[in-house]
Amino acid sequence: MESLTQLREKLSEFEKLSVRLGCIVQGTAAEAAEICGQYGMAEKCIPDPEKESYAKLGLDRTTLGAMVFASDELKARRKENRAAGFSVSIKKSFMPHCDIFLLPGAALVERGGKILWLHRGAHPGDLPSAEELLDRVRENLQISRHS
Amino acid sequence: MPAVQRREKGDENMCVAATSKGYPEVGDAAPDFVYQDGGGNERRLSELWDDGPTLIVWLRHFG
Repeated sequence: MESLTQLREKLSEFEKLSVRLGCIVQGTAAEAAEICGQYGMAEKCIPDPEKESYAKLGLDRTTLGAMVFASDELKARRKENRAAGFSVSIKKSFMPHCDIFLLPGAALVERGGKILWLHRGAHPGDLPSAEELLDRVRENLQISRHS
Repeated sequence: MPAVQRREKGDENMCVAATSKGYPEVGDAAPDFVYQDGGGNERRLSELWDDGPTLIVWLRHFG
């Protein structure tokens, strides 16, 4: 839930940029309402218990070995994420609809549906921080608005 | 080519190329899907970007 907490803290900055935010979670609508609601993010969470959108985006799956025997890169990323307020919740990882091996991702989509920026996680900790996401939004909207 | 490429700092548009063949990339249409909201209504993800730019984050489990 650290990701949601961090994104909630930056909501006003996304709003200033006139960018909507949608957080896809691996659970039912009821689970999303309950859990995301505890973090004041129920309206931003989009339930995807079947992980359909993850599959459509082509998000990869990691392996148990890759999580247990983390590479130096993953260790470094975990350290960065912890410093930025991200971490992995073991308890939430084992909820009924959660696939602990499925990797995270993010996409900036312009009005009408074209992808302006895309990130597919290469390992479990590979989701940019909220601050980094804001930077990508600023950069790409500027390019889009001037092209 | 490795199955998973490193994401270097400053190269934020890079994706996991070897595993993303056939999947949407920058410039393509974002994937849409139908979901059920808290009120039991069917909604589309694309409703978000119908009115303006949208950042979609796919969280691991519940983040």
